Amino acid sequence: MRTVVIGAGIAGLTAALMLKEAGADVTVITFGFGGLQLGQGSIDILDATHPLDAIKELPEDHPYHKISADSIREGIAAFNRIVPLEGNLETSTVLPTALGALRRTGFFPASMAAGRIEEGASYVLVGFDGLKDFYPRLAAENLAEQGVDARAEVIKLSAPGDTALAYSRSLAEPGAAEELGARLAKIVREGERIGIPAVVREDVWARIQTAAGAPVFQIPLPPPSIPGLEMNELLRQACVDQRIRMHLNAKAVGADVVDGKVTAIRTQVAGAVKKIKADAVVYAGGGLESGALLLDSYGKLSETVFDLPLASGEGASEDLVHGDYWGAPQPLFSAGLRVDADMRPVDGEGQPVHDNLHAAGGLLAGAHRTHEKSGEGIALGSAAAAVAAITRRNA
Amino acid sequence: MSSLDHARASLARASLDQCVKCTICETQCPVAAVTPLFPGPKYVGPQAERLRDGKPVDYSLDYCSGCGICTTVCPQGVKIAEINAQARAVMKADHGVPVRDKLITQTELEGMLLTPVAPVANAALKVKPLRKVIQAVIGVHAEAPMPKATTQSFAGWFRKRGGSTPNPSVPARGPVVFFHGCAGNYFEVETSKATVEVLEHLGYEVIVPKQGCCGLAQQSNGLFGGASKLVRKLVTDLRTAGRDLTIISSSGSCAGMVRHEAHEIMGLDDPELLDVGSRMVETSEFLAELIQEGEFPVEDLKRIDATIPYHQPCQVKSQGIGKPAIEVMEAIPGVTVIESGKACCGIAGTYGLKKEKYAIAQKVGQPLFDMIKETNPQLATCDTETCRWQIRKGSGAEVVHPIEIIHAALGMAEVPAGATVSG
Repeated sequence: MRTVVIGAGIAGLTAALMLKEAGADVTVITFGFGGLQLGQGSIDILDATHPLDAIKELPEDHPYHKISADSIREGIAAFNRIVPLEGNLETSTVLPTALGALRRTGFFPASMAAGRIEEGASYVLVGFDGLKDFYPRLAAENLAEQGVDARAEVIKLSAPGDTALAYSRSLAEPGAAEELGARLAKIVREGERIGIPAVVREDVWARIQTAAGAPVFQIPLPPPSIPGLEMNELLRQACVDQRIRMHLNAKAVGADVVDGKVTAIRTQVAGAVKKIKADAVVYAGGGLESGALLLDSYGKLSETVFDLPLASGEGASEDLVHGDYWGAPQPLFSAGLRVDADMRPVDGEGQPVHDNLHAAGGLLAGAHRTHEKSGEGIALGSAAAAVAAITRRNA
Repeated sequence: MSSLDHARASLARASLDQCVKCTICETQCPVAAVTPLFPGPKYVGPQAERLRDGKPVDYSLDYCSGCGICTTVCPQGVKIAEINAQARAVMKADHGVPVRDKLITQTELEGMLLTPVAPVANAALKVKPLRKVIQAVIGVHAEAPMPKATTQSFAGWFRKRGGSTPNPSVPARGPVVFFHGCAGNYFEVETSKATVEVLEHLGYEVIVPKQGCCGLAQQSNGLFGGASKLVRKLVTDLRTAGRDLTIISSSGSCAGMVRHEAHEIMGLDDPELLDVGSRMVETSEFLAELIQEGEFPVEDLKRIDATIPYHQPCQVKSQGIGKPAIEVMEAIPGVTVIESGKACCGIAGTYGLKKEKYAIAQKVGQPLFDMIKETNPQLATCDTETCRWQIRKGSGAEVVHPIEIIHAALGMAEVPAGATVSG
């Protein structure tokens, strides 16, 4: 079975790996890198203490109602086989943000685990004076206002640049992690956990923690997210190892359709449009932020590859963005594709547009991902549901 | 509009508002990772471009190697490398071009001059004091990798053998055109021969029209006027072979120049160029599609026991064709390909030859050299000539185009050292 996956974010890469595992021939078409390294490096399910229960309370047109808990579990398990994570689906974990807010998440790398906010725990947040994007005093003060026992320290630590990327490279140099750990050991008080900005990979974090002799945790920063970057690298490498064809800098621009089935994806490569044959397609091109959905200057929203019918969330198409910044969520951000239980985009009558075209991730309509903190859960659950449907239908 | 006017107007600017400052390009730039002299593609690209107004604002952009990884990974379609290449062309037009940059971009001339005197030239390029003089006078680093001149050009070989004879024992598959590039004609002659012989083995008649340089070296040095002339001439030459034939190239970067860079960087939109660009494919891309369609006689491939490192050049990565060389080489029983996973070998055409950039280029390439030494210290594969020269020098391994492995597996050449035949 030839399958094509469009998009290389969390949904696309995971779907590709699951399809390969199911024995399919897989080609990924991706216009640049996906969004993984722009995220926090955690898997958010839903901003609720018990996400699976809270899903039941979501509005009727929410994509989670089309995705079973088993699909979410399967998607997370597939992701977890490549990227080791802690956490669980039943109860959320509360972690601090770089501003000292509290956020719930489902799964996270080991380097964030000691950051979970717990009764009786105390935290020291340590900033590096040459790094932008992390101000431990502000964060600790905000945490303290929410009843968390937190204090701040700033140490002199420079890198060839003021970004997380520069620090990530310089702390990966031999001995740098041990040196930082030893300095943290001098700062930490009995029983405290040490929070540092998320600038290192998992192996470097482990070395810092060992040298510090106390629990150390990373706090995610704005992009580039080093934990997200590591996730992206692990997934992409797994795809290469599995001999999934990765067409980077290629753009899906259309499809050949015969008798209601997509037979090939027209793909813009250097100088030409190539037809990549497909028996089934997973469309994981992301939402508005990724260009799979396009809002033109007349306020018309469209889907750019297949010209699929769109559900515009709770708003009419001329009313996708309202002017009330602090008001209700903007309808535009929940616009996208309505799908059936097999994750196939459907038309106004609820019928699949193409028999073998499935969608996953940010393209699905009905979710306010940033407000709900539901993006990764929907992505992995819908990827698993799409792959299961493809496998079943082609068995 | 001339290509320099195009650059001055910088049509790639139209894409810069799509930049959301996500920094993905910054994380992947191989040059910014090793030197503070280059502040990164986002900084000198979409950010500086807002302030340029046709004039350079920051000379650090000359430290961009032009590998193009930034554009390749950008999820928003910002033409970062193109913006930089255009700004560099304007900067050089306004501030003058070093003689060195004018000299080292004369790739065809170099080949033509060196081929008749190959043994002398090869010996001369090994003489350290002479290289020191070259470094001092024209600014080509004394340690920079140099190609090995050969005594017979590919075109000479092809003429002498009397053109193309498709394998008579398989059904004829019709004609294809071969674009060999300058390096494929004068230096990496074995790659070109192997390509022709494999295609003939499959039943193709290979047409090799008289052809010159694609102009890539001049383009990447900001010499758009000369580059435009060369690529237009090349396109005319290639079209003499037929108007609807597939054009196959084993010169990965040169194919990229014709397929999209001449259009996207220099703004050339001659219908002849777009036509040739749309018909050009990389050799491995062509063979991989045959394999996928069951049209390649994989049973003809003899077993070769080898673990072969493969590095895809930046300018092949950018073509959107995936990494077909892996699939093609692994069609040979016994072959395991290990993809380098590295962004760039450092040479970026002529960048790593320059005395002020040599050390940066070596630093960029070091992880790749290390990877090859660990994986197979004798043999590696890569689709572009200048990258192979750099990787040979840096790793000590023999580095060949993937087609040469297929050529050997078809029994048409000795299997290179670092691989063994069995069974």
